[in-house]
Amino acid sequence: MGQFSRDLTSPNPDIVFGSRLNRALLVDELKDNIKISNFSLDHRRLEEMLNITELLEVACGVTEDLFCFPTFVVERTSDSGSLHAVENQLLGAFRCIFEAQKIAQSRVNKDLPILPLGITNVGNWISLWAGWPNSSDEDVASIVLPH
Amino acid sequence: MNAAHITDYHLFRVENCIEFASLTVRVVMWMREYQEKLFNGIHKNPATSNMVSTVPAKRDYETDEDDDVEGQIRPKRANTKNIGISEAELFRLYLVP
Repeated sequence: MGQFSRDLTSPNPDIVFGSRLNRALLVDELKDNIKISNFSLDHRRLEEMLNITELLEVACGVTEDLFCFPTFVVERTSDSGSLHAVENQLLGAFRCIFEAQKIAQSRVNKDLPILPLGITNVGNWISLWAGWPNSSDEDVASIVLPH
Repeated sequence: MNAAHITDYHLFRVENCIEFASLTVRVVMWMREYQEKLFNGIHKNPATSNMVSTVPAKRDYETDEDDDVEGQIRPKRANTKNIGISEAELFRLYLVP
């Protein structure tokens, strides 16, 4: 996304999917029913693998909810809302997902893809968005899927 | 008003709903597969030193502007400015009523 990413608004997604850290197991006995699963990662292992800068990147600034490694985002508004604002928010969220997936690929598992996915929903209109590293010289490549 | 009118007015198509449901199922499958790889990478693979960080640590890119030039010895209190007043005068100004 390059320099244009700086012009994006800070992401405030309506729904975002990802992982959570199981730090609550240690610091809060009231939440001891949270077990380690595919969507609940062991923070001690992560702290061994990543430095503090990377931990902040994969958490995308969401620190209180122990959220990390976002994969899918949903942005929506009603018919009266702005399509531009929704897409701008989605691209901002894509930037966070892209950075987190880049760290996951380089530090955790080389087989992990870098593929931010998301949906924009404006009124009755739903469109699927995806992003991936662009290896060509073009800044933006658009692909229209056949109906 | 008949059923056809309602479906046209709301742009409702059964095949679109099926397509969207199929898409969400595929997205969930993709997310589960991604999470499984991520989980296995974190919990089953030991951290190795050959992993390359994409985010440089602060010490990797920040230059220390206070570094001395090689061979040059700088006194420890070189930044202390001489304000042209003696310690006796300071004592008199601040401590003597």
